Amino acid sequence: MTASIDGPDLEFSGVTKIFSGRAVVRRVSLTVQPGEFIAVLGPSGSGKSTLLKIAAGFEFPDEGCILLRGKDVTTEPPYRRNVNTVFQSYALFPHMSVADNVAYGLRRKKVPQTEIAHKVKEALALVGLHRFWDNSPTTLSGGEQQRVALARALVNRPAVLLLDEPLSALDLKIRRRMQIELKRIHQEVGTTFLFVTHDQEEALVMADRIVVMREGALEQVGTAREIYDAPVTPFVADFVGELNWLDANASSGAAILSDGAQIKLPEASQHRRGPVRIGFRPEKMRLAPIDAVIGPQDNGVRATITSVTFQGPITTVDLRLTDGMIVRCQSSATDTIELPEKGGTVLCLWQIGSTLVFDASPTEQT
Amino acid sequence: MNATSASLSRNAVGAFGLFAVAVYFFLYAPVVTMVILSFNDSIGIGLPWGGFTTRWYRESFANTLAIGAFFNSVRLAVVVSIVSTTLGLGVALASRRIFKGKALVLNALILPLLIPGIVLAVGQITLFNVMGFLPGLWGATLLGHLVYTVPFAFLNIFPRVHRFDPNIEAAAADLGATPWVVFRTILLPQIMPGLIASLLFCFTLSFDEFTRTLFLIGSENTLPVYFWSIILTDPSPAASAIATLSVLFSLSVIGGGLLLLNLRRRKGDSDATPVGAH
Repeated sequence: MTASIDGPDLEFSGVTKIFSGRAVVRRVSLTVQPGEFIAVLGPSGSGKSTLLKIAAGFEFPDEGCILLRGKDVTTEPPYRRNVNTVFQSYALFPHMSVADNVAYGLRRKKVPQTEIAHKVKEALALVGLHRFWDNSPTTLSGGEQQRVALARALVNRPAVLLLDEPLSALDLKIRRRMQIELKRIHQEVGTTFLFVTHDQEEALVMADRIVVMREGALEQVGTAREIYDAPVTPFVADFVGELNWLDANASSGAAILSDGAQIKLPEASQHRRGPVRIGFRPEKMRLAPIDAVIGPQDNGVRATITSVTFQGPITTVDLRLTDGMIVRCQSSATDTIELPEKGGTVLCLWQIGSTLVFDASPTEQT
Repeated sequence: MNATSASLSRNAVGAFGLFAVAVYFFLYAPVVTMVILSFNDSIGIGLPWGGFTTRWYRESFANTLAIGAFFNSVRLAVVVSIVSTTLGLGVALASRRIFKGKALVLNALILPLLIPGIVLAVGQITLFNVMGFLPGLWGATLLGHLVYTVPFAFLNIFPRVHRFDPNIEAAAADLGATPWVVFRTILLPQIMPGLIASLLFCFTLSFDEFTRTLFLIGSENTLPVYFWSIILTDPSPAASAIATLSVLFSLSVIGGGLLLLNLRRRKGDSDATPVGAH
């Protein structure tokens, strides 16, 4: 662990980047604390990769500044910044051995030869590749190349390690393993990680804090739980996890669907009036017989089952409400044993506390 | 044998085989003929065979005009290959960037390849005359050769530069390499085969060039121009001997170059001494 000076490792302050008249990064301010694992999550075109490039020095902001351990590096070129990047395409040097790849950064800093050998060995051991010392990177698998790229960056002990969708080119199984591996390495070396991804699962699994970006701006910053359970915008709610949406009209603590059914609103949204969008997660919903009693903590609506899909650990049930809106219920297989067949009518129940309420703005539809 | 030959008729296979033999015959028979005739103890080029002699070689090595022409050719070819490879590299590197009129610039560079050498030579000598630029080896001829070889240099280097992933250079910069170090340790080793090919190619193009040189060189000589003059005035087997020596020289330059390329490929390369294995 290298606990350096007090204060954040990395700070974006009002950073804006404009490409041909369009702001791809908009007034982004973000503070990254030492040792944090931050995931920058967003769809393609959200500006997350540009933000990373600005941190690395491959792009320079049109407005705002970047502080690295308190030092303004806004106009510094990449080779004068104490950050290192793991590229999506790995970008290993094809004409050098694995060891020479990892040694490259240390050689630029004129580290003594014996020390380089020691550090390279250590870094390759960290990623479990010490046996591949003399190999050409071109002979390695995608996952192994990814580890070399990681060792090549980490061996320099950067203030911040930048990772640009490093796992997106790997197949699902290796990707899952690398997620756990990355988290272990993060804990082992204690370096600050800034991880860019479009994969919400990746962000939820690995990050201490998640930064959700949309159209160049920060949409929400918070822990995985905060982002998942209390999304501040429909965009975040929709992008992280699945969501059922209902259009309704709010008045005096409840929202009325077009068929007259009532949805009770949670405490914080009781003041709302007028058109709203109600959201709830498919896995927080459960199905009950049509004549079941709706508890005081629950919301309940009637629906007709349109399809039942068994997927091993979970079962997905699609339903149509009486006013035509479609919702989805996901539950573990054992809960659904006594479900009525397709075409049957049931009661959909979920807790008032897990009901999300947003303004009914048509532009928020994704 | 394989499916292709099995599906062809016997006659077709025979015809193709005969054609292939003919191609190789007409490729190499003239060279072999010339080599044989350079040992002919006769006063003219050609048959009849007058017996074996090495006299024409002894004469050629004592011929100061021929030796002078040879060294002119070598020096010119060395300068042309280095200058055009440097220029070709410059254009290839510039072509990675996006700029206005890029396609026009690149196409205009390649276009002269389609113009007959003699047409360009006449144009050049006329232009140089107007500019008051006298014919000669190191002025007009050098320029004429460069116009000819730079497109070839570019075509040898461009594909290597073009297919090189810019992310790899970004990674080097990210690891602390200044732009010059990135070029020296990352890009240069990767495009080296293209540079060596360009050097070899431009060397032989210049060494063998005749048409443009004849117009531009004035009273000086390169080996092809000298060869032309003795064929016109004194066609003895000495001409065959000079031609044979010239071919031997060209082959050894190319052979040496290919050997160099092969060695590099075997050795692999790295910026510094490799990190010792433990």
